[in-house]
Amino acid sequence: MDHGKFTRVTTYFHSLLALDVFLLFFTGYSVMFNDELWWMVEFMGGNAGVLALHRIAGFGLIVLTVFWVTLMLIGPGRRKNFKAILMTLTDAKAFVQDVKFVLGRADERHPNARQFAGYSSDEVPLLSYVGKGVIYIFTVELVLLMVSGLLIWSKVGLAQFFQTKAAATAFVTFHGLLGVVMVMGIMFHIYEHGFHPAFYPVEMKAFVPKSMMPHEEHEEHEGTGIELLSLRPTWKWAVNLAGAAVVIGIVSVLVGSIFDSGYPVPAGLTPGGGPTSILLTIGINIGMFVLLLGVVLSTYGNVLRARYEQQVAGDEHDSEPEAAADGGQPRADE
Amino acid sequence: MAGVLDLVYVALALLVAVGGVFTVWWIGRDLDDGIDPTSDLLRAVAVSVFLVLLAWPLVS
Repeated sequence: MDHGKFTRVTTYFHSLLALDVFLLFFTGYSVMFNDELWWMVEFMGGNAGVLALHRIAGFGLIVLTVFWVTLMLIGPGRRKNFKAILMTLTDAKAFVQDVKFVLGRADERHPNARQFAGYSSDEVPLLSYVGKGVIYIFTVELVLLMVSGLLIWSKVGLAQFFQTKAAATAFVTFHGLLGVVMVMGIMFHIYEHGFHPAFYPVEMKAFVPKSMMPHEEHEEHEGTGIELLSLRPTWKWAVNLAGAAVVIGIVSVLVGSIFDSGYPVPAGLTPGGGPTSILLTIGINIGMFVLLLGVVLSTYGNVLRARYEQQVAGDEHDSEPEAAADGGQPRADE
Repeated sequence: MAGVLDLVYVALALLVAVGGVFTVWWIGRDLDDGIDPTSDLLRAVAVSVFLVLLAWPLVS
């Protein structure tokens, strides 16, 4: 089944970005919910350690973003890549058809929504409208988080720059609010790509570059190939458990963001310390568990990629032609 | 005013979450996918009860 979409650089970038963003979430939420996540604060060296790690990860995010923007502007295939993420009228039609499909008024999903449906990459666009939406939302959120994060890097400096504590507080609040909004998207992203029945427990699209995806043709077989896949027996309980954890995690973080530190995030420059309850503590920790699950799945995906690359290298070695007269080896195509 | 906004915020979060859980159950209840819709409903109820208990002491 042809499911290759990412280039090699994109797979590496995606994994590095994921690790960095997860570290930003773990440290950021340790600051915000320091009473519910007391163990996480202790684990990362107390408040000073957490804030230092948050700043280091923030710097890493800026480095990764600069790299990616540069690659997109001057890298190979830049025009094609940029065109591929623009929303089209067909995407709007795909959205309308998806709504009808959910309501039982359409027989099938629109081709522009078939990112998982097992079609070959020639039959469907590089990104569905959902995929494009994810890129738009994450890009806007990350840019705003970086700008506001830089502005609150030094609270003393910010207060001097803006003259008022209220202005400094507003930026801290804005930064925290964006973090709360973004965690919802990240949790859904983990659930969507980790627990899809065809790809559970990890969707290899993000790890194996399209140049290495097998493109075997099953001429005797009619269909897209998705029907050849079998569902893992653990999927049934795993998808329920993860679904419940995602819903509970998101609501707990939303509710906790009010009662722990004002509306909707810090009332003052020192967040945390508001009223809490045992269930809220459990709920917020479940949310962190979902994020941890994301780290585990990302690592697992990279382990599978390494195994697959070894396997491919082994196969190529077995069928390798004799060395050339000058002693050189034929170069494998990307 | 801030108290009212807090209530609205919590009510919206609960409505979206609980509504979402039951919508998923409702859409999938007739699917012939080998999953028992009754156990799905029980799970949706369990998640909803947990969320209400989580938020209730903070807004009451």
